[in-house]
Amino acid sequence: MSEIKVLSSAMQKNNEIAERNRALFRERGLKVLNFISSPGAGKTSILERLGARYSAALGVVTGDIQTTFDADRLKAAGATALQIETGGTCHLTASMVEESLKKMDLSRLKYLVIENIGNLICPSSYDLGESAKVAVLSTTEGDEKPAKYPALFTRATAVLINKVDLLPHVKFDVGRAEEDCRKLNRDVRIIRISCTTGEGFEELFKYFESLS
Amino acid sequence: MHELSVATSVVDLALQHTGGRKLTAVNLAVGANAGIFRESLLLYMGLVLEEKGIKDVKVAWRDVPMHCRCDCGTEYDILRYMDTCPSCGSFQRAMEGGRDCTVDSIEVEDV
Repeated sequence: MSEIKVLSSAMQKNNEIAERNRALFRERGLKVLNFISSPGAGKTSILERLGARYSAALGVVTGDIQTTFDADRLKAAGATALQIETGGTCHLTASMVEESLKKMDLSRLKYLVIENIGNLICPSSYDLGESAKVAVLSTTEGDEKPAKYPALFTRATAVLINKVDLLPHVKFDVGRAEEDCRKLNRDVRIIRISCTTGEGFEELFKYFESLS
Repeated sequence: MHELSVATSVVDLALQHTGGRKLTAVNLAVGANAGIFRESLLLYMGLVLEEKGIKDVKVAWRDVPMHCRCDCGTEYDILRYMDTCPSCGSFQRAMEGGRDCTVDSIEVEDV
């Protein structure tokens, strides 16, 4: 029996393509965010408000298993949107993003949001070439989610706590959720928002505009 | 479920290094913050190998911890996210590593 050294990462192929995407984004001066959450946390509703603010300067690549519902909503909100239907895959990969960008006119864009598949687990393992990962956590999901699904929260530069208008009606200890987020990443930026009332969006816009 | 694509990459990497000899073992190093579920990866590796008609491959698994540098000056490794600093008990730390899944080495039959 002989042992042969390999010392290669299973993520290497994805990471190489992610670096190509990153170089393209840098060359275009694009700020790119990878939005990750469970299904129904409100990613698309947040993007509708961003679309209303930045209109054609906002590009969105949105991933779902099936349908073009999200891209349709975001186009209606004024954004440049493109749908990726993965047909079953639980996360977006750097190559899916690279392929979709070939179909998108990047010249007018200032911001690009990659709306990942609704899933708190798998998408966090894949670098897509983004400037930052943003986790969206909603008050209807439960305050223990950061501690239960920690990988994403160690990687996210910002956590958006959505649906804060529902706090009087749900059993969600926002202090506990924020404390657990900071245990996992003490430098995380936490912004409380509501797509219904608009609370927190001025801060979110400032965060967007401060990204390098 | 993303373990299926990780398993496919691991098997591809392993087979690229056999030099045409029969693969008998894959030695993995998996980060505690790689987001990889052990049982799923092992299950999918078995399926991917079976599909290629390769039998009797052992998989050895080495956990790679997350490395922490605490504000109190202590450096320590953790495998679980909510483990605190062994010196001061706090979470005031910078955390790095433990995010990769690497094929350390493979074993093949001698010719």
